[in-house]
Amino acid sequence: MTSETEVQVPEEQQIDTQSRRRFLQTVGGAAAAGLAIAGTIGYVATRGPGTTDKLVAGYRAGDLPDDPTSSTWLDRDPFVAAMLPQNMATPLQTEVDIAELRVRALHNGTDIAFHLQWDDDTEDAHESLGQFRDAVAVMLEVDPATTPSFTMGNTGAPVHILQWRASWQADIDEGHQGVKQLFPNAYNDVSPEMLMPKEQAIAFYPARVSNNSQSNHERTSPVEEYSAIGFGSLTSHTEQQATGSGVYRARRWQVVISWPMTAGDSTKSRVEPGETRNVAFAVWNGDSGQRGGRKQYAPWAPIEVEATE
Amino acid sequence: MAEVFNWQLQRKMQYQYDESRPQKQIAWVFDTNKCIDCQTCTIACKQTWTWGTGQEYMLWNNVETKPYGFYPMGWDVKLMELVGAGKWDNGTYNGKTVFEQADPGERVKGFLFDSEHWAHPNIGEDEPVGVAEQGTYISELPHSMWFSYLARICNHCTYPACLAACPREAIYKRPEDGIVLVDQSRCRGYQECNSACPYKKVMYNPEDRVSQKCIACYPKIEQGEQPQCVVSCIGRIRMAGFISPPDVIDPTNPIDYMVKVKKVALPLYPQSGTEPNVYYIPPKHADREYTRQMFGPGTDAAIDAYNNTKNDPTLLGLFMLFGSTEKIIRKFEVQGDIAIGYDDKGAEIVRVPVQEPSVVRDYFDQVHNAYLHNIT
Repeated sequence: MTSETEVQVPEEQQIDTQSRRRFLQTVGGAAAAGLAIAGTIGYVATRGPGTTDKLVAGYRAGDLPDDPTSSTWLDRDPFVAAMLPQNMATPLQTEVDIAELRVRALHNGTDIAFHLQWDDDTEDAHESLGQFRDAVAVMLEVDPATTPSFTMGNTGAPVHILQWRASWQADIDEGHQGVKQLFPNAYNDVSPEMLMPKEQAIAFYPARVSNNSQSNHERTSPVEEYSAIGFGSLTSHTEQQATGSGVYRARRWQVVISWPMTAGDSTKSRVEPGETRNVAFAVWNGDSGQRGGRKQYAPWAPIEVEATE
Repeated sequence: MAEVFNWQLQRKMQYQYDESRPQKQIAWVFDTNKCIDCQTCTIACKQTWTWGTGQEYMLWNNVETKPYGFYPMGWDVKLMELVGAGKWDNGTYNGKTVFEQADPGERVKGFLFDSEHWAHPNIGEDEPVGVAEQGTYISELPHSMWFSYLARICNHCTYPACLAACPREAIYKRPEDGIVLVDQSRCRGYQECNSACPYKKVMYNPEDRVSQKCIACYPKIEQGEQPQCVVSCIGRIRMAGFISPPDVIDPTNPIDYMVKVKKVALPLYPQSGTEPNVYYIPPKHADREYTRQMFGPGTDAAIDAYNNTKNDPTLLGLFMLFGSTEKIIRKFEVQGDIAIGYDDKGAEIVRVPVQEPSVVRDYFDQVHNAYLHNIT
């Protein structure tokens, strides 16, 4: 995650990160000067790398890059998913805030990873009163034979959803973002944990007692895995295997979501090299109050999972 | 949307789900005239339920001063902007509820406050409507210079806006007693309920990232006892019980007697359409137009009935049962000068005198050779 001091490049001057990096490599410029230069060359920059009209999870032996800014990711041409407003189940999203999601995918035979990139004028990494976070999600069919609906599956046809949230990324990067971080000057005289052992004090936190993942203070991944059988049915998986990482830079989110593609149980998707599957996406802009069903989505699109060598 | 009957509006209205009234409906009567704003109820609730981290700002029970006090800040001003003071025609509401005026694609017409709005629970406390000039003497009713106290908890509405708005169906209304709860295992902190509640009685916990609200002290209700805010009230302004369905009037049920028989207690901002189940005896000294806006077209008759209490031994006896027992009084009767409360099995749980014995002493205490300030 970037800090608030990150240099902000005006939207009209932004150029694709990859072309900026190539430009910098070409001129041999220092990274510190790079952003300023890139900002000025934005007017004359090419449109950057091409895009693909087919989403392919390329095979790559070895570890998949967890860093969203890795050239391994950015050297790949992205598939551009056109995002639609969720206007089927109330409450609706009536306007599109995020029109495009740029998607890249890789696998190494055991793990599959998605690189998701979108433009966003504001970094929204906290959840508070009337305040919402940016997020992105990948959805796959648990069993393609059941042909689940792109509307988060349906009865008898579950889907496997992996969601990354900027707030969870902040939890990972900086520790759990709670009252002390959101309201650093707030004073409270006493709380249960100050008066009694932790195992007793937990009784005053019913969401934690009931194992609501929303209230997990010991998160180890910014990505959460769910199953769903339709709107409103999102259920967190007992076994969480997904990992990921997100970076906000120059008014742009770049996020990697990865998970063991063949290790999931029967309630998760199992993706084999060489097959073509369906994948769908969703993205949220916290600054616009987007959360839950207030989101942009892209319906099923085929993804070709390259065979291993 | 389904069509349901809202007895407080005396008409059918649109709601997210079909009409499904609970077997029993928890309800309260608050006498605003007796409230002294001591906030004992607020603290009783706070110490019982909301002293965890993330709940610092939460007051499931609060007492605010009208017209310039509100928690959260401006909640009723905003609500009035949405639903207005109410268009009533002979007891029927002709305006639109928060459900009926929902924007396209929304379930409820709501509004969401940020943390600043929640940060000033005592704003406007004890502020009268104007500046009293030196020598101001108030002799008439209603008062020309006034403020009044409004104690508030979740209304455990028959048609909860919070429940209607939750896309996860994480909010439910218990069939056994009508208590409205947020399932702490299902909530994902979308704050749709916070936005939808016209009374702003669902609150977001930023530590655990879920919404939380008044639970009506359900562990006590299940034991036949009244909630903490009720039993702690030193002004004895509150009574909790169960209100009968709209087509039933049980004059031995204390809530029914006050709400349906004497019609001395009224719902707060009924024009919201949620059929709230906290019923208020309106302040008799406050500006009547403002009070009508808050409590609807029954306001004048309610205050008349309240003013006549001294001639109404049954109502007077019932008022004396307020704060007399921790148990829920399911039935009551007045026998001569004694008011008696019974539990759900018909067993007597409390009896109190309708008129408390009093002694008037002389102004001058000859034993101590002193004049007395208080002679009763």
